[in-house]
Amino acid sequence: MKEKIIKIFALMICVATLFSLNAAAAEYPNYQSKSQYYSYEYNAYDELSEAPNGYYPASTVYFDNLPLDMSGSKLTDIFYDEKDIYLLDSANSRIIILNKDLSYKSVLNHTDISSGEFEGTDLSFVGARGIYVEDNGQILICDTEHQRILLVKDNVLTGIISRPQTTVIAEDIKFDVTKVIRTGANYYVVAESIVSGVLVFNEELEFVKLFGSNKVAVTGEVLLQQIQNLYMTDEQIAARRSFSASKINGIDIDRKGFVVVASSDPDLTLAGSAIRCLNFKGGEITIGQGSKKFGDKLIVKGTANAFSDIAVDESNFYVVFDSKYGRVFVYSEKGVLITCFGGIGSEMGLFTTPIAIETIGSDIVVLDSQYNSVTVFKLTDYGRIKRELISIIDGGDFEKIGVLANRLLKYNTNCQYAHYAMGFVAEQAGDYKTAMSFYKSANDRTSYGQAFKLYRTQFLKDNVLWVLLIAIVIIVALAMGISYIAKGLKKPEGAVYAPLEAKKSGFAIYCLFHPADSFWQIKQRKILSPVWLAIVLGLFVYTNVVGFFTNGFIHNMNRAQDFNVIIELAKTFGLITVFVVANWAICTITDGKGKPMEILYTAAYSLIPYVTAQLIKMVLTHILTGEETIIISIITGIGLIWSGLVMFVGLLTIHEYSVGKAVFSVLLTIFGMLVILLLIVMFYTLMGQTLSFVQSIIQEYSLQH
Amino acid sequence: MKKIIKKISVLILILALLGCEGLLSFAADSSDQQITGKTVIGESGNIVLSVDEFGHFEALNKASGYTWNSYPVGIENDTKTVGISRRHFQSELVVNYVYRDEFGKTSSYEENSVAGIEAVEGGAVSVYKTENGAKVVYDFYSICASVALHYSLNEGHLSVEIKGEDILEGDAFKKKVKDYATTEQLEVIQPSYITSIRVLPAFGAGTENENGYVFVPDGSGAYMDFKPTTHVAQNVTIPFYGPEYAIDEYGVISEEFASVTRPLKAYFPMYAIVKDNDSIMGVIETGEERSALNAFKAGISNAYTVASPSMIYREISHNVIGGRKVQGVSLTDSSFADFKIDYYFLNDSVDFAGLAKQYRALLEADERIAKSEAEYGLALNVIGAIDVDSHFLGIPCRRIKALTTYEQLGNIITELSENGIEDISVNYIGWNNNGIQNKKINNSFKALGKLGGKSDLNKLISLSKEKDTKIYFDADLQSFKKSGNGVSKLKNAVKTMFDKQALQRKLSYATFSYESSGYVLADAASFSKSFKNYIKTADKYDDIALSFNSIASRLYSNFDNRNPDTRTEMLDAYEKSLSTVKTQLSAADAYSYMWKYADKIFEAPASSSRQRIYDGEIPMYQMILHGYIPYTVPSINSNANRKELLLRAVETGSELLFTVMYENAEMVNGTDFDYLYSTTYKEVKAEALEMYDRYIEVTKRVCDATVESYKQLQYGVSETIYSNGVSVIVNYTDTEYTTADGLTVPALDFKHRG
Repeated sequence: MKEKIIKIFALMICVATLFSLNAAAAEYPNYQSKSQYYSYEYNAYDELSEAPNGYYPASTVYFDNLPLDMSGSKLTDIFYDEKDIYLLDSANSRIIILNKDLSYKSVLNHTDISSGEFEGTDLSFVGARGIYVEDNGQILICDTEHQRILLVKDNVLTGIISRPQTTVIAEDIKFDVTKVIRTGANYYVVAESIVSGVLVFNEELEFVKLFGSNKVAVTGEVLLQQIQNLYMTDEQIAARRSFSASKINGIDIDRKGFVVVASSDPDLTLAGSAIRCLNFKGGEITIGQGSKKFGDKLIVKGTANAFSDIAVDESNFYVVFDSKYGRVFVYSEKGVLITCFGGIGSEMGLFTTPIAIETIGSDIVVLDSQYNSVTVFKLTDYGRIKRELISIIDGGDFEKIGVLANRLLKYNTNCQYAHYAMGFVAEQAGDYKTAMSFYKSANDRTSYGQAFKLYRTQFLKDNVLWVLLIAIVIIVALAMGISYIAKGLKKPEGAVYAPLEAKKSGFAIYCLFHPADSFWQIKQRKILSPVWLAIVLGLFVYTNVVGFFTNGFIHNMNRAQDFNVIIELAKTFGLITVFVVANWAICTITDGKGKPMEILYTAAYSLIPYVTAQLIKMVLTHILTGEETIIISIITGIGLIWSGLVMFVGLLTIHEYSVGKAVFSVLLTIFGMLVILLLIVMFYTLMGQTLSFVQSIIQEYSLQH
Repeated sequence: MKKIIKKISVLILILALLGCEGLLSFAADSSDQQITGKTVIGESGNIVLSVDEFGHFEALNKASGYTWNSYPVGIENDTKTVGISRRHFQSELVVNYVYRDEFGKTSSYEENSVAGIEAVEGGAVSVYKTENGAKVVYDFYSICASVALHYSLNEGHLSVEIKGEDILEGDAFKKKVKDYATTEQLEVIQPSYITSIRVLPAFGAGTENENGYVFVPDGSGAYMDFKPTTHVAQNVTIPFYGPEYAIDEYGVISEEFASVTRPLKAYFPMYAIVKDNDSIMGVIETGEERSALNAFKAGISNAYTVASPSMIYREISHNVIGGRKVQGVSLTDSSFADFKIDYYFLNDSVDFAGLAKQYRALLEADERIAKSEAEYGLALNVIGAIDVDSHFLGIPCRRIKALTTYEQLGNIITELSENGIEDISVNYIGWNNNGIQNKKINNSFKALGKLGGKSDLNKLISLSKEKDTKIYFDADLQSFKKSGNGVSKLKNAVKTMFDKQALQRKLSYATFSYESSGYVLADAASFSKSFKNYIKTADKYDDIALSFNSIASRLYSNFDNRNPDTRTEMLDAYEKSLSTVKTQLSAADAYSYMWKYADKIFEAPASSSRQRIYDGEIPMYQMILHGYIPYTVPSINSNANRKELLLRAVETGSELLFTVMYENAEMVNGTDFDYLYSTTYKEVKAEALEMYDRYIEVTKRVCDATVESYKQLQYGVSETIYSNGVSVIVNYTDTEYTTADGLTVPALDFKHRG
């Protein structure tokens, strides 16, 4: 009996322990394996790359167990004022105040608020959706349903921000406020129906201006509508859907005093402007570089993230919340993605109806309105190191940067930022070659270009004699080549042909300088060189294929695994074949005299300048930086134009066209090529569909029987 | 005499008229006596079992004086549990089904359910006394099906059984009821397919007026206390031995493509309901591989916290054919529908370690686990090779990339031994065939040329013996991408119920899209054949250890119409094959069917899936196996917080595990294997050595002991006490913790006593 009593007592202690542990929270240390909780990063090719978790869900705190009647409560916003946490209970028209550790502190019911000088005002804020607390303790409640913001200090209503009397906002638009912040002397207010920007009110609570409106994202649909509007009556234009700027959903102030806003419009996500940092004039401060910089990559409209809330943490990292997928993205102020996590689901760390996000120190809390709970995410070692590295990268402590980057790489060799930081340290130490290697791993072409420029200068300095010698050799070789060609093009006295013109072996070169004459001779003398044909077409393929792999890193976005010989052959041999077929087909209806072989030779010979430019390009991509790309563009441009001219004159000559007819036939040839390509695509599509149809029938049959 | 002959003749005539079938059914029914009121039907040990005419039962535990009811007493008056939830919880079984049309196709898209109470209310339940228990037959006229539950008492525990032969559907059901069904009953008959049967949905359910918890075997283990939440009640379904791989895209994507359900896994077929005055432990003895556990947490719309198993009779799957959304159910064979669960009455409240002890005793008696005296050391997952996208003369192809050659693994072992590490064990993954992922099916223990060939492999095996290191050579004998080695992709690949190859593809949780390519799984016969060949070739090497990670963690069916395999058949194939292995064997992330064969378990689950309805997690998996099968934590260097995983290893008595490759892990960037992002050996080594030095001091003291007690002293601080008296206190918090007897455990650290 005694034993039994002891056992029961032990169980009671055990159960009591469990209950006390879980009275308000389910908490777990972070020993969960990666597969059970998923976060990721993106590489430079916008591909998802596996990464360790940057944050982990440390606990889910349910507010059902607070010493309050929580029945029917609906939490709609959370705010942390560096001291306490404020929960807005919209259904019960009250504010629940918690300590930093999420334990209960006090409650402010609307009935506790005295109306002060606003006697007779109904202070119920049922349906409110936003809360903000000023440094002086004044609480701002976005009373959405009643279209006002209540300012409460020391339980007394001190002011009301009401719908501004201004023509800037149309009369029929509601002032349904959802967010408010204060910075400097102004209040910044977001209202759901007002899409023309954030409303700014001064200390006297008077409307000042609209601020930082989103631009209309220029999509194909918008452009099409603009064009169509040109032909429509005013009534028609008024009747159709208009594209207005997107509304702002989330707002916060960063540690530098800038206003950061988030918008849930997928068009803006795709346009890369869903998250913006604004100065006090409403001017945009660029966060990071490049388009599609926020949210998930490689997704199309309709599946793009919808950023509904934003919070800035103690180290000025932007935490944005995607309400579509329940994901949290953490960015540095420069737009570097720290990590992405969260989602919709029933496991800890996932949400059901996530509604607001806030930061408490470096922790992130996500409010889930269905369960009246918040999930607290804490930094993992990996996330902590990455953030620290990003924070100090501009500080000049290269030793520390090196140590942190090395530690980060131990956690994740995929981490491109760590590679970048290693490159940065090596560059600062003057080891440009190592820096280039790290930048290459980081896929950072801009930094690679800078390091390469320095490396090139250093190399030129160290090897000045050799460089001079090579330059002299190249110049001499070029001079000799030009002189040889010049001589070859000059007809010796008494001779019928110039030296290059006389033999098959030089005739292709001659064509480049005297296309009209030479292609005429091709028809007359049948002076065709299969060797040149093979060389030019071979080089055409070679420059495409080898260039894919060997062009310098700065100028080459290709990856070996993306290479497909079929596509490369289609781009070279396929293109020439389609050209020859289309041109020959066109010439039969436009009285052209050229034969297929002559068209082929014309195409091949005229490619010589282009191919030569490509060969030069292959070399130059290893010598020139990104800023010097213009030189490569000029050379390839010259090659292309030269080739085009030679081809045009050649076609004109072999088909015995007039200039006008030649232009017409070229246009028709291009059209013919498009038709052939279209037919090929249609054929493949049709085949695919037929195959799928047959498969469906077989499948249906096998399922029926 | 004449009279007797006459009587016999008449009897023969009657029998002939009735036909054999009628005779047999008559005989079966006549042997069982129908129960018409509450009747005691058996007594065994401390348990007295009584059943009433509605099929409700009571099990009185004389030792504790507590009565376990088959459904919660007073549920009729409960205002929270209403509607369908109440009907389910009032019943001894719930049948899930889909309707079928005249062609035998499913005609309803949604899965529906019918509760046993419906049969009770419709007077269509029959209760019979059997030899040592009772049989309750439920006729469901609304779905044209019949199911029976068998209750029996054996050695003090209650067995609840479903026999495949008792499940009657369609014509078989009509034939059975034609003699006694009323016209009204026959009028509503609508054929259906039974998909699953939930057994004793609310047996042992806890309410908010009771103290206790429900233990569920999700991952390492989790529990729900009886205290209800004040929000909407929720539930989860955890399939035993993981998800079904042969249904179309087993990671279920929601309609909106906005959320994805990660597959849950119950690693062993045990759950428990622990109350103040008594506890029950449910152990599924038969059919667990085709079952799932349903866990319900009390909330606004349900007053009961409970878990109960479901026997999956047919898998259900959806697909899109010709742009049309279709549903399919798997063909089934009632001979594979037997299901049996044993409920053990623990006579008292038990703590978590007590539960583990009880279950361990059952496993030991059943010879599924045996005491081990293996020493703990350092475990490594070593990655041999991977295949990556490449090109040959511009033509895209896959190429094998060596990451740790046989010689390099030898160097790793030598280096670690020289650093004083004893008892190194290696799970060598991707060392043969095509690296980690097979191209053709793997059916031969053959060295890979890229990793050094046969001579280097022989040298490695010699070295491992010399250094007393155990290398478990892992092989995946189930997956393949191309036909070959006697297994055809066309004929032998597992198929879905839509007659398509069940392609296993990687799912991106970011974009909710599957990769375009994947691999297929071999059917039971091909698997057995490959296994046999593999063992035959492996036997040529003396005293090598083998590893079968994929067998341990992947169980599936084959829904090929011509040659189907149920999960039961697949499991039989595994067990038959594994029983032929004479050498030492390891497995990773192993389900309990592997425990019998494994000498070591790599990557034992360290946590549960942390569902919202759980109130905490318990390392039950480890508590059951400690001292019996050595196991490791999941790979430490793959975790973003490594120190916490070291603490978990100490807390759960697990070996440390690191995943390494000799080459720089940058080689996996941009490949399908980029999850190996932190595995460069030279980067991991120092940390591994440091952690080893810290943890070995403690674990070497307890490696052969069993866990006697496990409790949380406060959030983030736990104490594990072993059978040899050693106590280990682990502190996950960021503040130091001092025990009642003055032992201070620093933040993120551990201490031991004894």
